[in-house]
Amino acid sequence: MQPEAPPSAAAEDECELLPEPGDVPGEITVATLDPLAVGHAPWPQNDGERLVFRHLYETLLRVDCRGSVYPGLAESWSSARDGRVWMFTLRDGASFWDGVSVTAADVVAAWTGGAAEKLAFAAGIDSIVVEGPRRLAVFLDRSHGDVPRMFADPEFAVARIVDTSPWPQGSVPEGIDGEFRLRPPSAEWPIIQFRQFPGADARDVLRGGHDVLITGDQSALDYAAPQPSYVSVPLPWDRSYVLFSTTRVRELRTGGEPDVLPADLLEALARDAVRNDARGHESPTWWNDLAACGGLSPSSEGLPRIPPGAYRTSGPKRIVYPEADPVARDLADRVVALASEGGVGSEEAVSLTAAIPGLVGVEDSQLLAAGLSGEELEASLRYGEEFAYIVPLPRIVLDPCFAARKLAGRVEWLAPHLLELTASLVPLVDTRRHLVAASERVGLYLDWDGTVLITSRHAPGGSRR
Amino acid sequence: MSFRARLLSAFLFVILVATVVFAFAVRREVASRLTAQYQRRVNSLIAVIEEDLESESDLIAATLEGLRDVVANDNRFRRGAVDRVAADRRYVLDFAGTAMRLTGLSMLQIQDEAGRIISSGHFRNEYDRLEPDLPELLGTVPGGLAVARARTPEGAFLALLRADTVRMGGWRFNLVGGTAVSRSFLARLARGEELRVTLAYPGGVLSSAEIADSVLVAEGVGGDSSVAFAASGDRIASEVVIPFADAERGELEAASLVVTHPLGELQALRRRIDVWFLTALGATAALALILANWLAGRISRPLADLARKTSRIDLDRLDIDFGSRRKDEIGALSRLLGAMTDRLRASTGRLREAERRATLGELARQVNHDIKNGLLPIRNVFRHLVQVAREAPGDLPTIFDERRGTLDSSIEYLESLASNYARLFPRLEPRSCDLNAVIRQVVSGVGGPGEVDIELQLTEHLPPVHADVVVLRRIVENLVDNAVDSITGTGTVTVAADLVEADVEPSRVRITVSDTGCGMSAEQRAKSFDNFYTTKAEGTGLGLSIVRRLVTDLNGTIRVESEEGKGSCFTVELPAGDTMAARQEGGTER
Repeated sequence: MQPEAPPSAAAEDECELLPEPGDVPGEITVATLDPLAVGHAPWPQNDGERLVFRHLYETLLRVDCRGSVYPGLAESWSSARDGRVWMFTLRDGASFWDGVSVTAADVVAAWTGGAAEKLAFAAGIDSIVVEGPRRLAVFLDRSHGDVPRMFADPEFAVARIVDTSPWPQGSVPEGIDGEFRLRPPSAEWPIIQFRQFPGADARDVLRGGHDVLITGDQSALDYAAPQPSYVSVPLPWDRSYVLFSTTRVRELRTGGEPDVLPADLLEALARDAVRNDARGHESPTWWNDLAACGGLSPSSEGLPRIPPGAYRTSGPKRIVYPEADPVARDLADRVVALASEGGVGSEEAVSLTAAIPGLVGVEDSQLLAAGLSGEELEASLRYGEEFAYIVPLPRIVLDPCFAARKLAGRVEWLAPHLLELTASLVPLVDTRRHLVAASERVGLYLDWDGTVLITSRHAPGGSRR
Repeated sequence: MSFRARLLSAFLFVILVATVVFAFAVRREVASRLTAQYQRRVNSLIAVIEEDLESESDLIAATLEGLRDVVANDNRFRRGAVDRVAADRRYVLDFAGTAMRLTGLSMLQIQDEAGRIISSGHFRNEYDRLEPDLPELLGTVPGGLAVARARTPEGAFLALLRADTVRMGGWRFNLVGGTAVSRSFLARLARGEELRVTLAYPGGVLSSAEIADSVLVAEGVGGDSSVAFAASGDRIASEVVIPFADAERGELEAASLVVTHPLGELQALRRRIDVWFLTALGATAALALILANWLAGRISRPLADLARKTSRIDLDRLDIDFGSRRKDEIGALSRLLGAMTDRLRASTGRLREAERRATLGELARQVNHDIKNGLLPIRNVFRHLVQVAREAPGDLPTIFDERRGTLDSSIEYLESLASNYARLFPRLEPRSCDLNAVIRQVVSGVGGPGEVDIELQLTEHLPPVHADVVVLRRIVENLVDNAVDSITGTGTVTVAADLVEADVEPSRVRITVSDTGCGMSAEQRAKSFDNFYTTKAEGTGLGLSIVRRLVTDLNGTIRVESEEGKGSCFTVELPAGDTMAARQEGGTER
C-alpha cells in the first residue's frame, strides 16, 4: 500500500475566524482566565493550557475544524492489514528546541509516559514498532479505513523532558520562555505573549488592551459588544453538560427504560438556569453511536463490573459539580430546585424526575448541590459515590471510540455496554465560548476541537500568507 | 473513753459544727446573690434583644420599601415580569440576586400573585417555585416580622423575614426579604460569650454557642413540636417569642429566642468554696487536735504521774516524793498526797514500833515456850537418872547411855534456838557491798539435797549496795536455802541481780531468787513472812521473817510471787549504795 498523499489546502477556509491583517504587529497579547502550569505540559488540563500548548507541541497529524487531515510531525503515512497497522514517517529535519532531532523512539517515549496504559487502551493500540529513526508502525485492535484522527489529539503530543528547562522540549520552530512569550522563527510573524488572569473579571482583562480573549462570560460579551475596537465571534458548541445518574444504571438493570429529557426542558434550562451562552442539548453526539467500538472497559465482559458506589444512605443526597464551573453549578442548582417539594409542579420537574430515578420523593432539604474541587470530584466520580454528577464533556472528538474509552476509564462505574453508558448519562445543555479580539490586529483560526489558533502559521495546513 | 479522747472529740465536734454552718451559709448566700445578678442580666438582654428585633424589622421594612420603588420604576423588570418579554426574563431572574447583594439582605425573593417565585436572590435557580403561603403568613404576623426557613442549593437556613407588595400592570407582586439568623447573628444578639442566645423553633434549635447533642436530646429538641428552653438547675433563662412562618405546612407557629445564663461559673464558685471549706476544715481540725492534745497532756500527764507515784506507795515504801510547784488543782492534789504519805509514814513508824513491841512479847512467850520445850526432855531424863541412881544405881551407866541421845538432841535444839534468836537482831555495819560478789559467794557454798541446778543471771557493773555485808549475805543465803529446800528431786534455782529503772531516782538494785520447787498456796504466801510460820518439818519459821526484817532495815522491799506446784519467786529491791549514802549524808546535814 502506498503512502497517502497529504490533503491539499482547503479551497474555502471555513476555519478562519479572523483573517490575517496586512500589517503584522510586533507582538500579540493573548489573555487567558485560566491558570497556566508549566508542569502540565504537554497535556493541557484547562482551556488556557489547551490554547498555549497547542502552539508549542506537535502531534503526528493535524486535523482542521472540518475534519480534514494534514501532516503534523509526520510528513506521510500508510496503512496495512486492512487498516489495523499504520506506519508514519516523521518530517525530515524535525528537531526539538535544543536542536536534537526528533526520532521515532522519541515519539514512542512521549506516548508511553504518564498514563500510557490508559492511553493505549483508549486508543486501541496493541503495540508500536520503531522501524527506523524516522519511521514507526502502530498496531491497532480494530480496523481504520482512514488514518486514525485520534493521533491529532493532544494526548499524542510529542515532547521530550530535559533537565535544563522546565518546559518539555517541543518540535515547533518557536520557543517559549518563562514569561510565556512565544518567539517566531522570523520577524515575519509576531511574538505571541500569553498572559494569565485566573479569577479575574473578564471585563477588566479586556480593558487591559489585550488582543485576544476567549470567554463564555456573558457579562464580558455584553461589555465588549458595543465597543468598535473589539470583534466578538462565537466559537463552536464545544461542550455538553451531562448529568451522570448512578440510579439510572440500577433502573436499567431492573428492566426500566430511561426517559429522555424533552427538548423544551433542555431549552428552558439553557435559557433560564444557565447564565452563559448555552442551548438545550442537541443530538447526535459521539456517545450516541458506539456500536463499532466494541468493549469500552479494559476488563473482560464476562467478569462482574464495578457498580456505582452506594451513595450516602443517610444524610442528604447530593448533586455534585466542579466548583469552579458556573454552568455546572447553575444546572445543579436548577435540578435541586426542580426536585424539591413544591418545585413548580411543572412539566419540567415531572420530566426531570421521571428521567432520574430517586430524584423525587425526598424532602428538599435532603437533596443538595455541592461543588467539589477537581481532584475530589474525579475521585468521587470514579466510583460513583454521590447521587448524581453534573460535569462537562467535549462535544467534538476525533474518534468517538477513543473518547468513550477515555470516559470509561474516568468513570469506572459506567457500564461498558453501550446501552448502559447512554442510560447513565443524561445530557442537559451545550455551551460555547466566544472569541473577543482586537479588530484587524491578528489572524485567528479554528482547530478541530474549537481551540483558537493564533496566526495562520499555526493553523493546519500552514500559513495563509 | 479516756480524758484525752473526750477532749479531742469535744474539740472536733465544736469545730465541725461551726465550720459546716459557716460554709453552708456562704454557699447559700453566694448562690442567692449570683443567681439574682444573672437573672437581672438575662432580663436586661431580653429587653435589648426586643429592641434589636424591632430595629431589624424596621431596617428590613425600609429596605423592602426601597426595593418596592425600584421594582416599580424598573421598566426592564416590568417588561420581563409583567409583559413577559422573553429577552428580559433573564434580567428578572437575576434581579433579586443583584438587589439582595446591593441591599445587604440575606434572603430576597419576588413572587407573583399566585405565589410563584419569579426571582430569587438566595437561590437564583429556584424561579417558578410555588410558595404562596409564605407571603400570606408574613402578612398575618403581628408586627410583620417572623422567622422562616429559606433555602439555598447547598442547604436551608433560618431568616428573619418581612413581606411587602408592589403593584404593576394590575398585578400584585410580593417582596419577601430578610436577614439570616445564623450562629453569628445570635452571637451578636448575645453581645459576648457570657450569655447564650438560642433560637428554638419547630424542628430544631440554633444557638450562639455549641450545644451538645445530649443536651438537645434531654430538652426534647429535634421533634416537630416547639420547644422552649426553660430555666433549669444549670442555667437561668428567659425568652422572647417570635412567630415562625412554616411555609411548607402553611401554618404560623411560635419560635423562641431564649437567653440563658449558664450557672457554670456559680457551680465552679461553689466547688471552689467547697475546696476551701474542706481545706479550712482540715487545717482547723489538725490545729484543734494539736491544741487538744497539748491541753490533754497538760492536764492528764500530771494526773498520770500522780497515779503512778500513788501506785508505788507501800508500807515498806513511803519515800515517794509528791512535791509540786504547780499552783493549780493538780499541784494541790499532789501536795495533799505528799502530806498524806507523810502522815502514812509516821503512822507506819508507830505501827512498826508497836509491831516490834508485840513481836518482842510474842518472842518472849515463844522463847519461854521453846526453852521449856528444850528443857522438858532434859528435866525428864535428869529425873529418870535420879530415879535410877536411887533405885538401881548399877543400871545408871546403861540408862545414861540410853538417854544420852535425848540429852544431846535437846541441847542441840536449844543451841539452834539460841543461834536463831541471835540472828533476829544482828548488828548492822552498812558499807558499799558488791552484790554480785556476795551472790557468787553464797551460791558457791550451797549444796542441794538432790540434783538442783543453780543458775546465775547477774548484770555486770551494778552499782554497789549500801548494806551490812553480813546482813546482805544472810538475806541471799536464806532465800537461796529456801529455794533449794523447796525442790524435791531435780530442779533449778535462778539467782538474778539487776538495776531497777536505771533512769529513775533513787536507783535501786533488784535481787530475784526463783525456783521450780513446790511453790506456795495463797494462804501460805500470805503468811510466808510471819514469824515462826514454816512448812518445813525441821524449820523454825523465822527464816523469811528475819529476811523481811533485814530487808526493811536496809530500806528495801521484798515481795513474793508463787504458784503452787510450779515454784516461787522472791524479789528484793535495795537502794543502790551511792543513793543511800547521799541520803544519809543529807540526813546528817539536817
